[in-house]
Amino acid sequence: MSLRTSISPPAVAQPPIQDAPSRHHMWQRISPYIYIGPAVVYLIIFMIVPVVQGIQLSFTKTPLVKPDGGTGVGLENYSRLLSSPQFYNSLGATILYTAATVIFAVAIGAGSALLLNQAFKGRTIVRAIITFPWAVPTVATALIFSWIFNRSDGVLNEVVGVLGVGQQGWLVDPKFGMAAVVLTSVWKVMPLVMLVVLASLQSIPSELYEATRMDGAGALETFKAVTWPHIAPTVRVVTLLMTIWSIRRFEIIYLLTGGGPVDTTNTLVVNVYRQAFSNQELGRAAAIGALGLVLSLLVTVVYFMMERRNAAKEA
Amino acid sequence: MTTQEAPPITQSAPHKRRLKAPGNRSFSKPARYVMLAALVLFSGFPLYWMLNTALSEDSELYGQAQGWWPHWERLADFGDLIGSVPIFKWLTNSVVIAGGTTLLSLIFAVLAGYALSRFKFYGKGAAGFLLFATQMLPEALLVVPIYALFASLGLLNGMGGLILANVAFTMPVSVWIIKGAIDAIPYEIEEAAAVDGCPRVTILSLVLTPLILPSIAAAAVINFFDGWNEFLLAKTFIAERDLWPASVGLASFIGQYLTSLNSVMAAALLFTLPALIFFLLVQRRIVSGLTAGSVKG
Amino acid sequence: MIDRRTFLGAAAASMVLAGCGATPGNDPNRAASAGGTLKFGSWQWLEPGRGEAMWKAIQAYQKVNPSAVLAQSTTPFLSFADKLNTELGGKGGPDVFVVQDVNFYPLADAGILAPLSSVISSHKGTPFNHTNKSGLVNGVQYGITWERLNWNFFWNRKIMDKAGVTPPTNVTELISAASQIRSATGLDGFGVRHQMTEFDSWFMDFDVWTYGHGGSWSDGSRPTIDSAENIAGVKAFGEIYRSGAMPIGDDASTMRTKFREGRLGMMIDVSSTVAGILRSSKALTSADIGFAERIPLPKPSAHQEIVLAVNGYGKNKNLAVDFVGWVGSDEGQAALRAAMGPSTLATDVPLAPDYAAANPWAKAFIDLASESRSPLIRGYEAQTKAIMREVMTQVERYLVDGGDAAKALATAQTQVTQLLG
Repeated sequence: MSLRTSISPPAVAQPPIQDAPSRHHMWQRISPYIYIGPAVVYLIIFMIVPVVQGIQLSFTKTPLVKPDGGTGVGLENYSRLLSSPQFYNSLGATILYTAATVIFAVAIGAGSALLLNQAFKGRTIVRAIITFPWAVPTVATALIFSWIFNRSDGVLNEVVGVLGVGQQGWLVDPKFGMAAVVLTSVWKVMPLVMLVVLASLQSIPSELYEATRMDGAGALETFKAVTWPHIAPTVRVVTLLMTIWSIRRFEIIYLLTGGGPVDTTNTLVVNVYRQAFSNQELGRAAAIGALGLVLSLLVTVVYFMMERRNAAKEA
Repeated sequence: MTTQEAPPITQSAPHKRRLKAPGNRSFSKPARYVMLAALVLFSGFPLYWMLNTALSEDSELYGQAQGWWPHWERLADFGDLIGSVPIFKWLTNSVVIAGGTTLLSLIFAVLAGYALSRFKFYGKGAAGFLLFATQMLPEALLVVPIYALFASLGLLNGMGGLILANVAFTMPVSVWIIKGAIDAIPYEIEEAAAVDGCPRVTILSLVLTPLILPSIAAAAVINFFDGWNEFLLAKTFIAERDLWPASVGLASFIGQYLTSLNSVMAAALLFTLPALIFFLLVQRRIVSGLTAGSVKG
Repeated sequence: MIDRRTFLGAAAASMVLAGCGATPGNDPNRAASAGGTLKFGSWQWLEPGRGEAMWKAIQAYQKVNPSAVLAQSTTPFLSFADKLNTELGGKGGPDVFVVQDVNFYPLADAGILAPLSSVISSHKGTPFNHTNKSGLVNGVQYGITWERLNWNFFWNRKIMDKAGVTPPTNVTELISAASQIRSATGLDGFGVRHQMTEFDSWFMDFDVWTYGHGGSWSDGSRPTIDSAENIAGVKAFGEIYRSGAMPIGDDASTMRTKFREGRLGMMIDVSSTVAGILRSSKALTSADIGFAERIPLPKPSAHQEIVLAVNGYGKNKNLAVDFVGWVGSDEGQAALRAAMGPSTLATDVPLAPDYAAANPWAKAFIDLASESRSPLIRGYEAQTKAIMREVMTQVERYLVDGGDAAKALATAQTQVTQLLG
């Protein structure tokens, strides 16, 4: 899937279809908006308006049960946040969680795709099993992993016990909490990376491989010369998507650890939920949300800048 | 930059051809099998463990080691475990919600994907960015404003509101997939149809749509799973037990005092199984659908 | 052909009528006798056994007021408070609902509940007991007690006998009893909640330890998180946590299940836990439950209260208030008593004799209501959860990382003071 071209303008300018002449000049001008209109209007109503409301809320002190009964406090929420160690803990947890999840998910996903790109007996079944985690609902995922990680009766401790390592509190010990959450997340999202990269791999024409093989290239050279340049754009885009989604992923973390142990997995989104529903402070929650949004935007901007540089290099 | 050929219009032939392609030879055979085995273990074990736990008694789960081989003979007990709750109603609700989300999402996606692919217009970049930017928005932040919005619109009493909320989150990804697919179709086809006097709408629905069907299928599957798994919005917007989707129904097994772990796992399996089966049936489609948009001009 | 004047006249008339809102079906202030549907929101409808019993019990109201229809609004326990708050924030929600006291107070404080003064003033029969003070907020009664759950100490007699342990009467004995159970039988000796994953319930459980040493989180005008009594309570909890006799990492449900399976010796928990265990147990009977008259701590302990309240945005407030009045009446209380099990109710209706005889432990739990203390923090009731989150974060840190209990609470004190700003 050419995700890259989905975001930047198409490489080849395509002239618009000429509608039948006569009074259609006006129609030609309007018709793009009619096609894209519904989607845009929809998102504005259901996403942008709430976000704008959220940003407005971030300048107030508003109780959860009276969302329109807030009092303005200016920048107080922000100044409190930016001077509270708890906020930076959330920021750090988010960055760590995102980096770890994305790196492992993309590495394992792309690696799986490479492995699955060659035919072998039973490939369809293997591919299906590797993709299963994607189809498992989040609630079920959290439940089974909680049980696997259970300190006294979980199977993970049973297995590592045999290997000589003691019983660990995977979801209790601050040393392991983040690792456990990352493992669960990677398990869940890796299949999507695999599918996308696999699709990209399968569009490489076989003639290219034959050509390089005839040139006497080994496996590594083939990879560098043929495979990687082809899948690189896809891998980059899926990495960006995974990053954005990881920054905002909520359910798995909340259901597994609730932000613990000792706030080690208290990412920005978990913190937003806590502030909103546990502390019932919508203003503070909105402020954290706004700062989280800034983080996502930063990531996107960096990505686009890198893409532009790559495009310039290739030109 | 390596050159690529444009795919022929019929998608099935190249699909078959690629399956036989030698692919890259990056790994040696035994290493490959070991890694594949590890991956299968990694991906499949939790599901197997769900089954095992669902078939275990509480006395086995707590204290003594849970056996490794599932007690298949207890499969019949599933009926009792689950019989007390309207699980099939819940599963049906999930299908309705996921299906509705998919349908609505795809309608928006085809229209918007076409616009982003074929038109040049003022605000195109902004629209594209908007679609992308909304993917950054966390549901936790949006749930209260959307709830208030729905309350004022009277959308709270059923699955319709939930579908509308879900679509906002799933639609952008579909737009990209469809846009990518339309990008890959040479516009000469549409031009030919236009010259013949075909209005744009007809071109889109009768000419283009069949050509991008694999990508539509891929987008449909992705949307369906998003709708099927959705939990945070579902638990907030649906009030009546009979209207719960299975994700909320599953959470309801978690009681205030005691949670029966094997019942929960059994319910989780019943909730996962339809998605898995559906996925098995369509997995070829997904890959070919994602592939179809992959070759770019 | 209607002429214009008639048409305008008719239009104006219908607008006037619509504006009056006089149709009986739409007036939120219509009388209770007008009937209608009441949506009763609770998570307890899902409780195995007890949920159906409760629902059946309150159906009796429909005999008293035949034009009323009661309908269930069910949400799983974990999502209940968040969802209720979201609904009320959107000016919706069930007409009448039960809610835990820590969630009740902010609602009452914000003025979105309907006052129940008429319920109190027109009440006849057995008087409302002191537990209903929890429903009094800012001088107005906004809720009555649905049930009050008291914490108490109980154990598995068989395990105690097997390990040769006598019931402990203070913390030191508790720790040694637990360790002895562990060494003699290999089973876990004692279990209570101890993780932030269960924060919403843990902070109330934890009050048992600090209240039990005589501590309070505030003196009414300022927070007293780092008082000596609180430090003593945290220290005591820490000793048990580190004793090795507790199944660290288990959530409450797992520990209760273990108790039910005969794999856990002692617990401190609420009455409905015991009732739930007995209801679903294949091995344990009521005779196996050993219980104390009170928790092995010097001072009175904690309770958790579930309050019945009326939605101020409801479309049928008078009917809802009338229903609440019925729940508090002798008839309603008698119906509920049979269904509720061993909880303290809004009036002091005694347990049914055969139930009491079959469950000797129940009375001990109920009697504790006379002394047990509320989780709401005096002077800062509406911010109880926010304050307790700061406190329990430091407590968790102390438990997991070690260190000094006094320092942990001092940090909490600073955080809380900053929070209250």
